[in-house]
Amino acid sequence: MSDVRRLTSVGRLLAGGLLVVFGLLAGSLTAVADPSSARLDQLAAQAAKAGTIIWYESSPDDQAAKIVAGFEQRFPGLKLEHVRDTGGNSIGARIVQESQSGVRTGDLATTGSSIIEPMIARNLLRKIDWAADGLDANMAPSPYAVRTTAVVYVILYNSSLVSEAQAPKNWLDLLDPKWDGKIGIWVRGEGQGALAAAWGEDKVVDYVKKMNARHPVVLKSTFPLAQQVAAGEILVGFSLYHSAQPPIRRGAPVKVVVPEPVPVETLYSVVPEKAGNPAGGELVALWLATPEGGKVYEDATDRGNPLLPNTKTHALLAGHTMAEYPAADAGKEAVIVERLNKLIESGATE
Amino acid sequence: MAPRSDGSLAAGLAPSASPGRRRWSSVVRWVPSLAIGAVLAYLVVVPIALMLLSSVRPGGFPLDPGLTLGHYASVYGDPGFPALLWATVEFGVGSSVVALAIGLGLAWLIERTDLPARGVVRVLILLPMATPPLLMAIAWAMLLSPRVGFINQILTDAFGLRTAPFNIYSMLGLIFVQGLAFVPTAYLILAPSFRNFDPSFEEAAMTSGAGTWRLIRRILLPVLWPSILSAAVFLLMVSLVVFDVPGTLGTPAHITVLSTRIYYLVSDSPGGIPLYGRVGALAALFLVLLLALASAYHRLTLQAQRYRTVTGKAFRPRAMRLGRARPAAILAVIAYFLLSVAAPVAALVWMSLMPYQTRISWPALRLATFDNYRDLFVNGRVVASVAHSAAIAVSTATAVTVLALLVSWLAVRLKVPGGRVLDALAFAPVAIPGVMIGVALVYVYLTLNGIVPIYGTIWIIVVAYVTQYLPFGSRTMSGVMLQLHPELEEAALTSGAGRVRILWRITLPLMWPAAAAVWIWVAAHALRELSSALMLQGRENSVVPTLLWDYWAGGEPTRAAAVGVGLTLTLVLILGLWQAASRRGTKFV
Repeated sequence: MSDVRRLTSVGRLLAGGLLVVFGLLAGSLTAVADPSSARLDQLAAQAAKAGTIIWYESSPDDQAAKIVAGFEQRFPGLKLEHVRDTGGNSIGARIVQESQSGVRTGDLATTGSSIIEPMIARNLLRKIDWAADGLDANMAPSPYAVRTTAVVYVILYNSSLVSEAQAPKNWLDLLDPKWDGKIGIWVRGEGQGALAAAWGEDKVVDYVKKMNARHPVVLKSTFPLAQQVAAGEILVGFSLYHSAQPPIRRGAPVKVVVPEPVPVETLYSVVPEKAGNPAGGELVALWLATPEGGKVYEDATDRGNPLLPNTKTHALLAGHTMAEYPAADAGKEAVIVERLNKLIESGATE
Repeated sequence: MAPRSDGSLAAGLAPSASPGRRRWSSVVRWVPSLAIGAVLAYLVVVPIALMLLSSVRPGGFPLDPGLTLGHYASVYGDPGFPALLWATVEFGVGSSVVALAIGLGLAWLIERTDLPARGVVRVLILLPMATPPLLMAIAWAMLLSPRVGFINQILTDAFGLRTAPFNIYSMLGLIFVQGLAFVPTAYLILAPSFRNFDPSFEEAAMTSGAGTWRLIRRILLPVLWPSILSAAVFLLMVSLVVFDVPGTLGTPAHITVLSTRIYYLVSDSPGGIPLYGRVGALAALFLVLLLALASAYHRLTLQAQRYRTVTGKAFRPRAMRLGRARPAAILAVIAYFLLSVAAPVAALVWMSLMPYQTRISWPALRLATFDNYRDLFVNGRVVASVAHSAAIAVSTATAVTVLALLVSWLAVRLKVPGGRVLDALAFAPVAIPGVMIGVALVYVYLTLNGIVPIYGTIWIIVVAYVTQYLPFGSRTMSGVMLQLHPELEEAALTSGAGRVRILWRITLPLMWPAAAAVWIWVAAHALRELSSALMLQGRENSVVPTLLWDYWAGGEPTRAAAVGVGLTLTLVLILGLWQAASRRGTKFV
């Protein structure tokens, strides 16, 4: 517990001007992301001198290849190499280890605020004047980080076995006894943790205990969770929007409900201090924050930047209230998530 | 030059040697120990030291400043720790017992009886090794999950049951699947001993009127005790660190074991950075358990020399006639194949033909497609991953086999100075979770990057796998070496042959079945090992297991299943070749 508590003070290191996302309507969530072509070209010229740009990110390689192709098409002559870290906490670990050993690390990393905070605390990230690059404080809430994408929590259900009328419409509907043993949830309580930004910790803890009373099937990843919904082993799930897209695209009977409020977790791009091609890292971060780059990223990964009006994620969240802790409160959120993780693991109802 | 009276082939100095020569010879005697010891220290001591260092660093990274015992307090002071330990022991003992019982029965039937088609059975028994445990767990979930499990559906419909008779998401389910997954390992450890068993013992017992049960109890079990113990110790230790099955089937049932706790601390902890400090503190428990087990192992196997069965006397392996028990034996073997190979592989084939995960049913057949297989041939990353995996498997298997043979030869046969230390070092990595080996190697090769630039290449994975699989190799080789009476080698030594020549002409041919078994086991496991490959994944070393993980984590288990089916077919081919080689090898025995 002490490890995550330590982060609450670290969170304050994230500069002022951080956006408190909760309570704002997505429709009004826009940002200025207008890096000039001249600035992009300037960074591209600098990046070209430093060689390959290395990008640490968690998307599967097939998806990443599409983003790399889009980038290299936009900036001919530059080479972007995607190194897949397997989600979880390995991106942070890799940067810490490589930086401590004095070797070149990634030029850019795209990950969550809980992973970024410890790196800031260890002075492993570069401060960048994103405003000079044409990004406003909504898009770049800290000198260390720029928004790239977001994961969105939704309810999934098997449309062959559950009619639309029977399907849950909001989070509390999942507590209905008719779903006993038929709900799937992720082993990581991050979605419920984000809900705490709207509901408060006590209400969310109570919610998770009541959910445990419904004997949920706990899964290690939201992707198998969506597949289990497709197979009918689970009828409904508290899961992620993008995890449901692969089976839906292949024709599986899986439907999505977007309840209120919508828990959201933003992923940021950061440039490590030991980057071998920092201009390249900055360039990729900027490009991903443009409507063009954001679209390429979302088309490849099903995860989009809600601040970019041309993304499906923006449309998905339009008119909905989002629940998310601001990046500065990542430590506080981590404490809550750890508590929820233990509850989910134990299945405790009291 | 006479052999030593203790039966070892350690160099005995002629009494007439001068004091200077004696001194020089005693220095020379240390050379093999020091050479192999240096390699083992590099492979084993460095990762363990870094792991223990992590456990006392406040930040959990070995190069962090400061010292603390806080991680130990967090881990062992957690109120849930006793339950975690109990679940781990329950899972480990249960799956080891299942594997040992089935492995013993199969080893005896295949190696010592007139069971028909033994050659084919010997190959098929190893097939479960081709299926990555992650896919095996998914396949069994498709068969025995409570709601859509195919076998459950059939039984529920056939007997009008209200609830499914089996639930794979339970401790018994975990033990069942992991036990089946361990059977090839148990068989491979035990089979060489059964194969090398001199039938004159059985003949003498039966001539004296001993029944089958008495024969097993008084002859077979005591003689095979070292190998059985090796298998039991090894399986128990491995069961403490395996992740895939408890990670896939345990989580839905709220069952957490040590390996899944470690995975959580590395990958899922909400603090943003892996909690290596707590992982190291937990892994320290493995080390203590290992030392206790290794100590017990050594005490018990000291008696093994009494049961040496391969001697210099004429030796003609002979199969025991099963008689009226033959049909029952055949049925038992068929049942094993149905459970361990046919059923899960069929489920995988089904899944590989589906566009998304769906229950096994006639109506779903209309969805069948070969798209997932088409992808195997057009996706450049699949081709690269297969090539990398093949190179890694061959390199790792060869290195482990050679190293394990040398260690067991030096420690068991030559009894060189420091031999027991070598043996213990070779066994120690069994206590280190693969993920920690990965973390340690990242540090080692980042530091040595200017001298040994293997970070991010397939060779860093080879180093990790050699470390991980050395315990299996050394235990298997030592178990078999203990059974070989040194009189053949002593005869050669007396006839003036050098020790290297004896190793080449006598020891190696006798050890060939065990060496082949080690090679194939390591190669098969290297083809599917995931945890350390994930930690060491770089830009140029994608392997099949990380590809599978990508597919699974990316929501495409059907493509993962197609790769799994491809792996199974590949391993069938490798096993077929091994079987052919093994048959040639038995001519030496």
